[in-house]
Amino acid sequence: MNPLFLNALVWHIFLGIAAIIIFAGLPLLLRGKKLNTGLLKVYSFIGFFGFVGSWITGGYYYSFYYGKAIKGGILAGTTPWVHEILMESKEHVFLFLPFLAFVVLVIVNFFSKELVTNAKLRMNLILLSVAIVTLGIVITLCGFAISGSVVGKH
Amino acid sequence: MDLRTFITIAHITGTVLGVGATTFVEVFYLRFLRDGKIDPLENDILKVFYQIIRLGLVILVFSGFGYLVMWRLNFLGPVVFFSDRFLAKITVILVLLTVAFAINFRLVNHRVGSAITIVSWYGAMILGIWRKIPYPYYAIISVYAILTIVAYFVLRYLESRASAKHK
Repeated sequence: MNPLFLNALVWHIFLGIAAIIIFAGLPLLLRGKKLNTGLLKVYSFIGFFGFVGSWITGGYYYSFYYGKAIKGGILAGTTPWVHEILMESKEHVFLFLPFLAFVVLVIVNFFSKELVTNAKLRMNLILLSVAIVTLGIVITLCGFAISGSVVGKH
Repeated sequence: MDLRTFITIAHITGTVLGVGATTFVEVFYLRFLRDGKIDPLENDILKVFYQIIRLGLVILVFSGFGYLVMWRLNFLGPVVFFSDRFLAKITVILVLLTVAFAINFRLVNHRVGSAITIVSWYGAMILGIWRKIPYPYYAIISVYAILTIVAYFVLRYLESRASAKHK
């Protein structure tokens, strides 16, 4: 694996985890009596760009390295379902995350006044953040299984 | 300092902060209960411990992924990734994350949350240290579940004893 693919893989993981942690923190900020809208905006920016960054680096790694060097080994190994089911699910479910994160970004940045006064909007944003974190964790677990199925040097 | 050493230091730091703060939050909570109530100053002290637990959890998760990247780059494969110890540790950490979230939103009561949190932190630490644990996944998780139930009753006893001193 050349340094470019290595960096793509590492940044894919790092940015994805950072975004999940940020979105896990967002509901904690939203449930307080006094909303810190400035911090909410920072969180939503980092979370959104984290997912976008993870998406781009992961997509690059998948398109130019995984398919050629890794996929065949997994399919020929003892756990081909890891690619057939988990990777296929991961790459499709992952498509949702930047868009869901974008919805949060828009609400936090353009409807911050409504967020302060509208408890229902706040609750729905909390639920959306929880959904993002849940999807993120599911995808992460798929990533564990995929990484764990890679054997031998490529 | 090489990357592995840095990740190990971070992982141990996260565990120390988490296990330490979880232990002391229970110790202080029981001490504060002696007068039958948690006053605002005591609540602020507990909040500091909860922030340290969160910090420990974040450091633990990031450094844990550091290990994963190294395993992946060294092609350690199913032997490590699908090992009973690793799967048990992931389960414990996921429970810990879920409960931390549930406590923050008061979806579980304090005693249940505390029992799960304290057993999970110590469980994660033990699974991290005991590298050649000879037991299968279901045995580790069964012990974890039993210890959580035991911890719940121990905490209930200690809380009632602390409150009794006030009465």
